[in-house]
Amino acid sequence: MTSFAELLGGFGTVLTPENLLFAIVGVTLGTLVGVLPGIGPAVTIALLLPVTYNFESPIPAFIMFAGIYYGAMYGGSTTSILLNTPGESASVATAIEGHEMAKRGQARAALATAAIGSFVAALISTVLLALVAKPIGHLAVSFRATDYFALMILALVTVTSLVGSSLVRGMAALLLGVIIGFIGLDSQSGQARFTFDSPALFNGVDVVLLIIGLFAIGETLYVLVKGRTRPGVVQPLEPVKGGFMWLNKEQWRRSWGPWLRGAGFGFPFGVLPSGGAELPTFLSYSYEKQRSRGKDEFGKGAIEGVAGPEAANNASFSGVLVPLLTLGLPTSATAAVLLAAFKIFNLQPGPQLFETESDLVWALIASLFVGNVMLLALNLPLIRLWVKVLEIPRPALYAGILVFATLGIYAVSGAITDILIAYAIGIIGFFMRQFDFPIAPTILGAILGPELELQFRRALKISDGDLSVFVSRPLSLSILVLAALALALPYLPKLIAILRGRPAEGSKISFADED
Amino acid sequence: MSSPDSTGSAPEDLGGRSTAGPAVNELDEDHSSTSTLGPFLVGGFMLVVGLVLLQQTFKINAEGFDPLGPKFFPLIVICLWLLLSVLYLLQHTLRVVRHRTGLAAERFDHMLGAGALVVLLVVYAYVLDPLGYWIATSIFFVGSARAMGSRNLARDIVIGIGLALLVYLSFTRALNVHLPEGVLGL
Repeated sequence: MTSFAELLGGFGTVLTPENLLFAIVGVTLGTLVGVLPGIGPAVTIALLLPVTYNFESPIPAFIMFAGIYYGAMYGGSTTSILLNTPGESASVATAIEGHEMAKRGQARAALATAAIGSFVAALISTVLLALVAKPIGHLAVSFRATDYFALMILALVTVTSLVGSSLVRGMAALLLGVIIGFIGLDSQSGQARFTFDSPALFNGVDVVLLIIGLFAIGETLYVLVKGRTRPGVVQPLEPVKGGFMWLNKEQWRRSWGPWLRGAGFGFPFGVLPSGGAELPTFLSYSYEKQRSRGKDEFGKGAIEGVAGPEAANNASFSGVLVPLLTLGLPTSATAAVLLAAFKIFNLQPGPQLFETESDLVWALIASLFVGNVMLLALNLPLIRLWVKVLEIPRPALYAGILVFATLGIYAVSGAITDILIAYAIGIIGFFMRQFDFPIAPTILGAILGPELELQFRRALKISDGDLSVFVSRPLSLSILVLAALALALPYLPKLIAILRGRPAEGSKISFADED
Repeated sequence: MSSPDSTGSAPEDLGGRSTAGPAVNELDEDHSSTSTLGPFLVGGFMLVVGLVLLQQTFKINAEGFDPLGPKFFPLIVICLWLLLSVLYLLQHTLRVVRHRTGLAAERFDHMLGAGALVVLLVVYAYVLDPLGYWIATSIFFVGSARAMGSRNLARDIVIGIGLALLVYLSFTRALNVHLPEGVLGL
């Protein structure tokens, strides 16, 4: 069957009343948490995982999760534009230009270009996902354990080296996650590791606990200590001035180029293990700033600076799904949670997924189209509702987040010890924020660490313990070399400066932590 | 609260800056700490944790450090962790000596509220089963909102009781997730 026919089948699955309902729930929840500061798509999906334990089929769950992911991106742009608080870090560029536009009385135009740009980019990138996913899956069939090992190293290293401002702190955060992943009984030998003889730890630390602890509880403590418990100043919406979908002719003309280019940046960087949406949004912003017709307006509210990064942000998600679905390789914290969700349903993302669970995969891809149509319909007309959400008093909001966090943990196991473990992890997360350790590498480390060890031991079993097996296969070797290069990449400007005999400025290129 | 004008920092900051707080924030206050003690404590703690885990690695029940066995991989990771702890301490020490400012660290303000919140969380975990979800959550909500600076008790009580009841009913009745009924026997 061709990909197109399978995609049509996917639409058939999604367009049933039940699944449409889950899509609506997903995009609404996603927009809500995207609008709210302090809680992102990773936590939301983690909180909902226990709810899906009772689901018979994984398809509605994944339709809902995809809606949450996309919804959070749409919602994040609203907060950035109206409140200047990026709800998630990939919206930082939007916060700069979009908020300036809002201050100049162009809030609606900024919101519209963000929403329509997200929509356009999502459509383009989802088409690309549908086209490339299956061929890459076929390619991945020939991958061996050593290649998977090398790919995971590459993913971990690139994410760690690009996120946050210090490689040492990033690596420490990553290893913390890997160490947490060791806790429990070793899957192959059955030996207890790092359990301190406590049976409560034999099953390991559930990923849900880790994510809720690090993100929801850690973030709440951090916000409290920083005194950010008062709501910000929401920019008022100006009266509708006409134009098509709040954009006048000139604004349409200035937006479409950045949308397409943003999608062009977003998708490939999402596919590559480059840590999600930060890098492409940043690239899109810089590109538009250099090249666009509205160059002089940058920093004062240039529409290109909203249109491009928002498109890149959304396009990168479909990109992130490529390694996740075809290789089982998450490259952002939210993708890592989605991988955990696959495990709950005893599904192993990877080359076989397209054969064994083709219904699910194509329903998921089709739901991305459907979800984005819903989001476009939800966002602009309901904007007044989302503005109301921004006015929720912060103490009540964070108290509510803690209630839901505890509920999510309790629903996993019903054990008090698990709740206490998550709180302890939350305190660690708080200290990590205080001392500028990035959070996303810890999540990826905890999820990929056990996989990494599994592939490592599997490869060595085949080679009879010969360690050279990782460098004797050209594919594995070249991926490992890429990983080594990725470690050096952020220091490139510094190295070039030194080579040219100039004093080096700054320490390394870095991008925001993502949840 | 910062004025709206003070928030638009230069877009050049976008990529180059450390991102504990993104380039733009609703509060532009500087929270960085002037004390250099913090990172020393963090590094020291990382070292201690590493050493404890190293000892735990040797306690894993397996013969030798066969790369195929359960001990080899943890050993490598813990050694790397110890190396990173030392590097972190070294970086910080060098910075303090050279520039008199250490690695990134933020001030610990409002610690009373944070401490109260942690205590509330732990108490909440322990009373959840005996008191039941509805009562425990209502009390926890009011307490934690207050710890975070809310001064509108009536509003918090109404939201707390309503939210707890809504969650309890929707999870136990609609989603079939078990939550403790406690003393009320709802």
